[in-house]
Amino acid sequence: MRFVLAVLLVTFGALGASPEEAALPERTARRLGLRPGDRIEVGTDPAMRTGRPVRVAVVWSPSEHPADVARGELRVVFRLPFLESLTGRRDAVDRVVVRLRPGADGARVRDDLAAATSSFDAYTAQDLVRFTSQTFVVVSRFHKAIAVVTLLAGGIFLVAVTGLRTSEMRREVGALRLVGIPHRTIALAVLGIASGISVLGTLTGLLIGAGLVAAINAYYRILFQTELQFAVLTLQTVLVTSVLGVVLGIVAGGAVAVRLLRESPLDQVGR
Amino acid sequence: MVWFLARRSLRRHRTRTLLLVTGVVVSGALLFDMTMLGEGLTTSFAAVLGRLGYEIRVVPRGVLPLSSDFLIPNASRLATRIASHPGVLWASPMIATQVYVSARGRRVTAVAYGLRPEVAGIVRVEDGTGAEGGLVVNAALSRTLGLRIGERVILASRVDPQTGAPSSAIALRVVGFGEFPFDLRGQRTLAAPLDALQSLVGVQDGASFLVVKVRRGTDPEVVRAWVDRTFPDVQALSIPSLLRAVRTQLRYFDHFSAILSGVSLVVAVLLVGTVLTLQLGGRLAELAALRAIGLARARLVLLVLLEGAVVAGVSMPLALGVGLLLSGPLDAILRAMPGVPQDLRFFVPTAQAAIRTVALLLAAGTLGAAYPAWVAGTLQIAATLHREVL
Amino acid sequence: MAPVVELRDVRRVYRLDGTEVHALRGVSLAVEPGCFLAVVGPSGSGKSTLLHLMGGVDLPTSGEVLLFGQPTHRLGDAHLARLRLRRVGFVFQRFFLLPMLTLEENVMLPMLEAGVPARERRERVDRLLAYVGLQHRRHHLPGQLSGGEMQRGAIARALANGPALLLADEPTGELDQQTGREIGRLFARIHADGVAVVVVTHNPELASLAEHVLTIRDGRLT
Repeated sequence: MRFVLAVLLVTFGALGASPEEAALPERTARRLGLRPGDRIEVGTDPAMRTGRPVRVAVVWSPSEHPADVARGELRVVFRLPFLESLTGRRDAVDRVVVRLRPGADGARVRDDLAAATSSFDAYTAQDLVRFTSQTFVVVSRFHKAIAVVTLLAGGIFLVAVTGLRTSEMRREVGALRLVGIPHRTIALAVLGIASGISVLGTLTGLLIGAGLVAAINAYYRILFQTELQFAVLTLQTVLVTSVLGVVLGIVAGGAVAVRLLRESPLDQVGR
Repeated sequence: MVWFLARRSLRRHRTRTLLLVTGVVVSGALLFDMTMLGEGLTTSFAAVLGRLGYEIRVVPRGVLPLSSDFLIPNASRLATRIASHPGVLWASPMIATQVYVSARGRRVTAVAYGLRPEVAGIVRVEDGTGAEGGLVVNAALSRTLGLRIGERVILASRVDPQTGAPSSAIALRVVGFGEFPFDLRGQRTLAAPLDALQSLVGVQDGASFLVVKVRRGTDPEVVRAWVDRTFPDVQALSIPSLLRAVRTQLRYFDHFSAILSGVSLVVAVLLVGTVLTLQLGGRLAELAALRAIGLARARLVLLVLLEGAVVAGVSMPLALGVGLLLSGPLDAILRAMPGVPQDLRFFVPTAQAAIRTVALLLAAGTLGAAYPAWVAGTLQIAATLHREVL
Repeated sequence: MAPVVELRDVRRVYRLDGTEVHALRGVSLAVEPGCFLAVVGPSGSGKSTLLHLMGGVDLPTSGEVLLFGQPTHRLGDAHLARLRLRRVGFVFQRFFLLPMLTLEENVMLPMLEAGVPARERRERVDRLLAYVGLQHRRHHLPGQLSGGEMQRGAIARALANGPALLLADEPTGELDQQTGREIGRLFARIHADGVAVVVVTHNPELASLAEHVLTIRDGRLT
């Protein structure tokens, strides 16, 4: 079974004295069905002409970057000298990671390094987070755009249903007005009904939303074999949803109340 | 009569009907967008791949389909053997790598393709000639370095980190300007003769991948399967299999599209069903009277179903229009994602997407009317008339 | 000639909140073609139930209702609807004109359903509106008509397809006395034109216009 692995070149302290050992992230080990102690062969050509035997020293669970979960590539970690000899690249690396002294200004060091030579670029960890998060920033923007549209559809639905339900009370409202119930009382009653519908609907919607969040996380965690969270129900989301739902319901109820009270009570009872 | 009554019933409460139609338009627009998203990526990617001028891509076995990290050794020999298949017009090795490009005292990095003359589809030459005689550069690279046709540039595969001096460099002339279908936004790209790039990166007769053009009338899948079977060190990918591989990586959008399409449909069904049901409550006496004067039960059911279908039908053109309008900004948002080729589109309006949306909306409107239609159909005439008199 | 509608030992029982309500108890009668029959009785005596059974709008719990010789409980819904559309006219206490249609359109409705061609529809509508004296109100919506006008419009609608039987349930119940008289005269005229008319009413003046008066009490004819 041959797989091409994307190799992370890190000095890994957990490896033993022998240079020909590998550390496997859990995802890779699971995909290849490997455990510590297993022997594999690694090479840089498909025919394995440069193949070398390697022992799996350790399987570990790295904290996953969201950008990596959807990728199909597998990773494995070797000692630097082994990988150099395997690839024939002497003293040539893709990148150098720098650990700063406590209290050092990362941005300043980055700028100093970049100014020192035009041959490479330097990035702080925050820079890298920003770059690698771009995809998620875009997706988040996309989600927000879709949310605006769905809110619009939901809002129209809420207004239509609340308005309809309260305007079905025409005859009762007419009768109440004819027996002398004041407008204020009727208006409050209509608003109360509209608010009740919207509060109930909002609560139900939040419950369904919470259920969906759980289902989405469960599904994608299994799909991508990760513990990352894909959907989160925040307090802000709950608050915005609740306020929007209730306010829309009240607005719809208010509009209906105004219309009902403008009509003649005799027309409302059908005379 | 049923069609006449359905239309007039909807016109009776104009505000209500307008609200209902607006809700269905918004749901329908979202449905159209999600249908476009679901098919758009594949359609767009297929279109981009279709412009490349070859049908099969041969890569080292086990690599990701679009990866160029590993080389195929003895590539020209492999190409000759593949070209011996009667269904193959030509097979050509290609190199894809990163290089340093220096001109006018400036140096930048660029993606470089090394190719032979027959692989013309990789670059769309807009000015000048193809890459067989020199470099074809894209707009981003020529703009960055201020290049002109005929100008000499230095390509290097590595530079000394201390001194910045290039090691392993070659000089080539710019012979043309062109566009590369797979360029990312702002990416600098060039095409160079294959042998020049091979010597630059120090790989004699190595290739990142091979591209294969199939003869007209030959099924590319047949050639693909033959290459896969015959050469164990490589794997062959046809455009459909490339699309499948890409589709796997982009399945998030498939899921998103499916879920949101479902939500739009549910909202449309619920909106139509709820509004019509509530409206029905105020019309029971009329409907009982219609039954009494001779409207059969099935016709009454049809009347209510038609009301739902009419709402959906009236909403359709607007839904498609609004969906089209929305798709532009949504597409722009997604195309800002890193790693997305600039020619790729996420939302592709096709006749198929429109037809599917129309059919689903109509079905949603009719389904939404199903419950109120059932209520109307099970109406007890005498009991309803009696109740209304009371 | 066979009766237009005949009831043979008809019972109608409803279940209401777990209790049985015997609306009709063994009623037998026959309505001959062209006759004018009034059915009177106190509220809740089963008058409207009797009318609904006659029109095929309701079915008996036991016994038989023969509408134009056909047992209604053996006819499918579509067949019954067709009978009502072409041979029976209904007039209701609350008129039940469709509020979003003009008077003309309301009268035309049964003709549309019966597939009457457009030219004939227009001619019939003209004739019927003239018959009930409402040509000048043809383009008005029901909400713009008085009670009497609405009821005359409803009668025109009931006559749209030339029925042999006209059933009217408290046609003057929502009208003042004067208007009620006008409606009564209209029924008499319809009867004179050969249509069998059955009227359920509390109105003694209207009942007095009928050839026969049946009294129903507690679900039984007396």
